[in-house]
Amino acid sequence: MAATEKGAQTRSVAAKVVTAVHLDTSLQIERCKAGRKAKPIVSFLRDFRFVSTSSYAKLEFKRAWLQRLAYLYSLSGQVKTIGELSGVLADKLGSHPLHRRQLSTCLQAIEAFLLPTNDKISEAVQLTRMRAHLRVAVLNAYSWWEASVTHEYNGTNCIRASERPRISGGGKLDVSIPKCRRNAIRCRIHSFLQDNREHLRAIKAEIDRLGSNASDELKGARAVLDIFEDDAEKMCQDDICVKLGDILVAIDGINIESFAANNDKEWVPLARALQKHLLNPLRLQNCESLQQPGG
Amino acid sequence: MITKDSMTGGAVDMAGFVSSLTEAGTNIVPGTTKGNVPGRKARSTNATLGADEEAPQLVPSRAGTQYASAPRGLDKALLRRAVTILESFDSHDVVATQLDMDALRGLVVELWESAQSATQLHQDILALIEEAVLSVTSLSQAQILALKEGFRDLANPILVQVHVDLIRDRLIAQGFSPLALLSELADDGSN
Repeated sequence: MAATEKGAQTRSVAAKVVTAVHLDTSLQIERCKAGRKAKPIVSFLRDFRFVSTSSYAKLEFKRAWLQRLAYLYSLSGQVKTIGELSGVLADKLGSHPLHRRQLSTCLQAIEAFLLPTNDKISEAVQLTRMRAHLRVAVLNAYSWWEASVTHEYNGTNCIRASERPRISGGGKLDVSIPKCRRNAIRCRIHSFLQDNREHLRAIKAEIDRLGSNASDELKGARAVLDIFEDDAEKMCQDDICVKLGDILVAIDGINIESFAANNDKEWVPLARALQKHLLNPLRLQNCESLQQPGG
Repeated sequence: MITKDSMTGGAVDMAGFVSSLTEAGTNIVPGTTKGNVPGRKARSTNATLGADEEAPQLVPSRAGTQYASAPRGLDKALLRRAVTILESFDSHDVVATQLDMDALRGLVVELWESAQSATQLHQDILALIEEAVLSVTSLSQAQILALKEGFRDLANPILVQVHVDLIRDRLIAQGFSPLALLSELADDGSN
């Protein structure tokens, strides 16, 4: 009984303190899923008055999900049945180890579309239906994303994140992400990082402290931060800035008191370095110590 | 473009078709043979009206105006049935809710057969509706209203992109996601 009262008190205090939360890409992706999977996050976020994310998270979402779905849409326009599509996919992606993840996502997407129909409709109609769902998902994802948060920080002013998926001439989906080069700077990433040097130092120190226990992604980011110390404008290159993904998302929300993410390997060190609460509604679903507004 | 279908009670209503397009801003262009109206297949003959290849055709007057009419509409009986189910939906009755949701999901799947020959805009709205009904186990009153509007739009032979955008916005506002059907994908937010 005493323990329950103490827990309740903790939650009450937390409710007064934590009213704003900054979301990583991982949670945004979970949120856009169907009811059962999104429910823990939706109910977790219900009592926050301010929910933010970063435009850089949107870029990651575009790259990781929307581009793959658009690729599937493109291939599905070249075949007559979904069975044929699976074969084309395996031919195009199956032989290259680097493409294994893309192939896996595409095959899972096909399965997801087929499951609810349970062979009730013809193969040609199944293909039409899948193409419509892919088109709707890709073209409307940004609208969903923007409606899902109170505010999207855009400290990097990433032009590639701001370009919405669209239908181009000939009915093709355009989800392209242009290359960035330092001789044609169109974003503010270098000045953004310069303005946040102090936070970058704290992150570097935390990664160093973790040593070999740091995730591969953080180790890669650590190397990029060294490059930044030498030449800030080197950051204005897409194959460089991509390695700082989680760091950019985190620093974009530096004014928010709490972070929420579902990939602890990167976000526990980031939250510690930046002295933020880290909330993971998926990991803490069954954990009594969850501190969130309204408990 | 006036078709046999429109004269025989098919999906394209002649009067509505002409007036709607005229209101949307169209020009009559003589001598155009086919392909002027996006999303509509050209019909080579129209015996009922005696139209020929030189008959005036309707084309959009504003560049970039995206509209389309259904060459064949979605199954009207199924659409009416869906609206009826939504109108009598009782979220307090667990058994009835389950049955109504199953019926709605089944109807939406059936609608894809007739959507096969409908416009892309009709297909997009049907996909948005399907994402919604497949992603929840019950519906709130506001969600029911949004879905009813979607089904009613699907009965409209002529849709413009704004119809899709409005339904999308209403469904998103009611907590639905246009990516919900991808729930079975791995949790992969990485590159």
